[in-house]
Amino acid sequence: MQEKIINAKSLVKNFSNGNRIQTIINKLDLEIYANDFTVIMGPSGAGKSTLMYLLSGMDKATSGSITFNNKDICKMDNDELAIFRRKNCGFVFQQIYLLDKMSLMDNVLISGLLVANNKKEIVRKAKELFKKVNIPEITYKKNMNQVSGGECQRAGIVRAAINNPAVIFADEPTGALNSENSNAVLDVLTELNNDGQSIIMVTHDKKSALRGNRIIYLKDGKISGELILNKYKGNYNERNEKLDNFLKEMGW
Amino acid sequence: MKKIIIMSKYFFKKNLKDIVSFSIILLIATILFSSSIIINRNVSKDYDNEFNRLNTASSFFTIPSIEYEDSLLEDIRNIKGIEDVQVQNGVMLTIPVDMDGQKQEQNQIFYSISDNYHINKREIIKETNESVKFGIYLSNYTFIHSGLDIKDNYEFNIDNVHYNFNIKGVVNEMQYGNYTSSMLGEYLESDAYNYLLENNKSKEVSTISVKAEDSYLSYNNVSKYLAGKNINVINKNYKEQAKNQRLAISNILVLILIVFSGCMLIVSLFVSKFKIEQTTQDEMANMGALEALGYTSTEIILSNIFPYIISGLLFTLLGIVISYSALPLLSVIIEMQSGFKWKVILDLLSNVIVLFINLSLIVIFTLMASLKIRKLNPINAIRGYSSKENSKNYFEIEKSTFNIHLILMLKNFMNTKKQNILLGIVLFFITVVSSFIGILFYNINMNPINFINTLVEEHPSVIVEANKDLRYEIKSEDNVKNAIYYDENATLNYKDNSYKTFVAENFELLSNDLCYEGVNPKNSNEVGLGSKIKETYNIKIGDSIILSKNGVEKEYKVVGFVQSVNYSGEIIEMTLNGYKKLDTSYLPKTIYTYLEKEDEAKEFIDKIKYKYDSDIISTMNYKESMDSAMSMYVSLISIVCIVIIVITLLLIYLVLYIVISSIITRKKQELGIFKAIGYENKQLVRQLVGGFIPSTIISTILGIIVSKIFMNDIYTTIFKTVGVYKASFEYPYIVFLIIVSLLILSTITIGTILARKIKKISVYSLIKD
Repeated sequence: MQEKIINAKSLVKNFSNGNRIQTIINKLDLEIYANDFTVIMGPSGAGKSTLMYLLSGMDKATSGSITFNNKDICKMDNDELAIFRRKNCGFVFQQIYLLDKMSLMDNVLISGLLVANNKKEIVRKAKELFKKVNIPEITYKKNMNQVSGGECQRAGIVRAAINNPAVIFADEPTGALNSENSNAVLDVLTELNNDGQSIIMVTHDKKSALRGNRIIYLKDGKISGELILNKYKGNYNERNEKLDNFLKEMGW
Repeated sequence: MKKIIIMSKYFFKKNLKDIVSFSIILLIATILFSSSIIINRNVSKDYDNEFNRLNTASSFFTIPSIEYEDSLLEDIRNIKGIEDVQVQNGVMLTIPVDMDGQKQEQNQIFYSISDNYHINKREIIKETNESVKFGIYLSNYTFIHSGLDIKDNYEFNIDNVHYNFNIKGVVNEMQYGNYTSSMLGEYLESDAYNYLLENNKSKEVSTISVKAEDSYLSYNNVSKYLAGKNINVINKNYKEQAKNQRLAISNILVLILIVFSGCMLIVSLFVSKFKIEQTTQDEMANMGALEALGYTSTEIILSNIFPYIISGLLFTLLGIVISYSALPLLSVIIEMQSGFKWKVILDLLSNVIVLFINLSLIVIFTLMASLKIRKLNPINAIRGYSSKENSKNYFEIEKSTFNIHLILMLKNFMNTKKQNILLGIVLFFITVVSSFIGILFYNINMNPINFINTLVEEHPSVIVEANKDLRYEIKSEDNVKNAIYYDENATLNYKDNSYKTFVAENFELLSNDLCYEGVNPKNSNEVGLGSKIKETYNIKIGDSIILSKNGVEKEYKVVGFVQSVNYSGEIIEMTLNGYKKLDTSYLPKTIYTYLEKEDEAKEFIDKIKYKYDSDIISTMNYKESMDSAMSMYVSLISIVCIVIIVITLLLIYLVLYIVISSIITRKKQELGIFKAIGYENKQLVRQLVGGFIPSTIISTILGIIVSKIFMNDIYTTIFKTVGVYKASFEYPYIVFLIIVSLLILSTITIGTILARKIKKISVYSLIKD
């Protein structure tokens, strides 16, 4: 029996556009389990990113409940959510969103030092993670506009992982990268997951989705299907076929 | 042109809130600036017009009627340069009156309203048609400060006789004026005048009024003639001196307004420059695209600065219009202080000057700010190549020993240099202005003796005029600190002029040291000269000069220069022994008495009057009169201080609004990232506001240092315009400390309030927008 980290029930998210109310997430139920690499797929406008931001407490649901590590995050105010996020969530964004007037290391430390007071320990851990994602010292001391997009995104993953969050949320992490950099980023995420890190990733890229062990397909704000795979161990072809069939079934 | 208008509209809409802030600052600056320019250009001119309209004497001399004879008038008429002469009879009294709710001893000359004079005409500006018993027409100054109304009673006691006059009306006259001119003129109906004269025959005076092209020359020549005749001149004055006495505070007020409005104008210019530079940076890609499409950099520059120039034009015009609504209030202040009723008039030239100065400065500043556009390379701009400074990583966290939040504050500070520079410049000016006002407030409200020392001459607690030497008796009385001979009404001649001479037995014992250069005379062969005499004859310390009186001449060594606002620097200071060398028969009569407890001056006067009865000619509760006169200045300056404090806070608010809005807009995504990784709103607010603390502290401390160093010079320069050469102001550290603390606290508080809008922005929208 897998440990349940997130439990969303009857989740609804509406956006109002003038007088018109648009339902993006429609009475959705979802459970997220520890150590899983959950991938959320679906057509444009299906509500993938919205769902991810709701689950992480970045956005507030119109109705429904989300229990994250046994805490009802829907009842938290903004500052309580911020404190909750810093300890439980790590984020990797498509646009990377590193702070441009800081070095890659500083970008990581501003997150790490928010939770831990032992600077030496955090610096040591950051260096270890940078090594893991293959960013040398000379690079992590540079600012984001002095390094490649792939290096930035890998630094983004280090920032997301620095506080040992319960879940890393990745929103199209390879969306702005070339093929080589995409693979490098996905390798890092896979390695983290293999080390026990839970990940939720939104993507519309099949190749990225193959790294997950649980694929959720979202359509019109509801889960229309789910595919369970084994953990990724480089078994590309076998997984690719299963995913192809699943996506075909979903109308991809 | 159409293209420029379309683009200008875009920039206007985009920067609407900031243009509104700029316009509000400019509007306030223009109201103050326009008001002060109009006052500066018109009050003095209108004063002269009113002076001429009422055919006021160029100079006048009040002597005891007993010493007057018609031949004097004829002799004066024949003095070179004198065009016309006239004599007016009146009764001169020193009376205790209620002024602004406080007792004040005033020298007043009462004339008969029914006597018609061609010189020193007066105009009735308020009058009741009803007949009243013992009617009096008060001078405008007395009427304003008496708190009385038409038909009220104007009462006082002299020598145990109670006088009760009924106020029939108010007159406008230009001969006397206000408290600082040391004499006020009141006008009685015939029956009232005769009654007063009957009871005060010994105090009947004759005022010889003179019309001449050169009022100062006529004043000197007649003074010399009367001194030669050994005639005791009780009161004398001339046009320029009276004007200076009456308008001194108004002139200081105008200078304060000009300085303050100038500071505000500079702030508004820096705001416009800052915003245009920000827009240029934010819109670089769009501007590059426009250049790529074929727009010239001149067209882009013009469209960028047009919103500021148009707003500048409109709000300058609005400020000028509003200043005409503020002027009546300032006119009341001038009237209260000077007794001169100044009517606000439309002054187009002043308006054009203000418009020209404002617009020229706005055009220059906005053009300077837009010059970067000229150097814009379309391709680089479209690609959004940023400057090298963007890649600097200040305060590396790994190496820093500070707490993470402090490091982020410092990083914020380094990454918002332009905003910090703007805030720093504004706070620097605000600090200097606040220090100026704080010092003024301290020296008028908290320690008024400094203000008194600056603007008036010697100020004892009580002046006792006695016909025998009572100094030792008075000194031995309880509560008496000191009692010395001091005379401000002696006269001496130098070259061809007669000068008022301050005679003291020992200048070191006086409460107010008037000497601004060198030292006060100590020995009988030494003399101190007023600033005007020094400048007129180019005299230096150490020079020897010949002074004369009644044909006796003696040589004296100049040891110092002294100031005198009320006598426009035309005074001589001399020791009692020194004066006696020229006038061996001189017997000092006025004993300046200094009390330990000044509030008990009235009791002291009653006691000595009772004790020394016939030996005392008159007494004056100088302390009470001074307190009464000061209360007017205290309320006037308090109003100015409050107005400036409110405007200062508004200014800090508007500038911080512009700076913080600009940071929040530019850092929206950055704030979103911080929120996403778990930073609380209060941490972000602290970080943002904390980024301003270094510039706030640096600029306010710098402002305080500059103020501390130059404040004495600033005050001396301002006061010099009214004849003060030595501002006896104190500049206590505590005042500066309070100002720094309040400004830093206000900046942090206002900044925190404004930065709280971060709270309203959801992390999701920050990330997604």
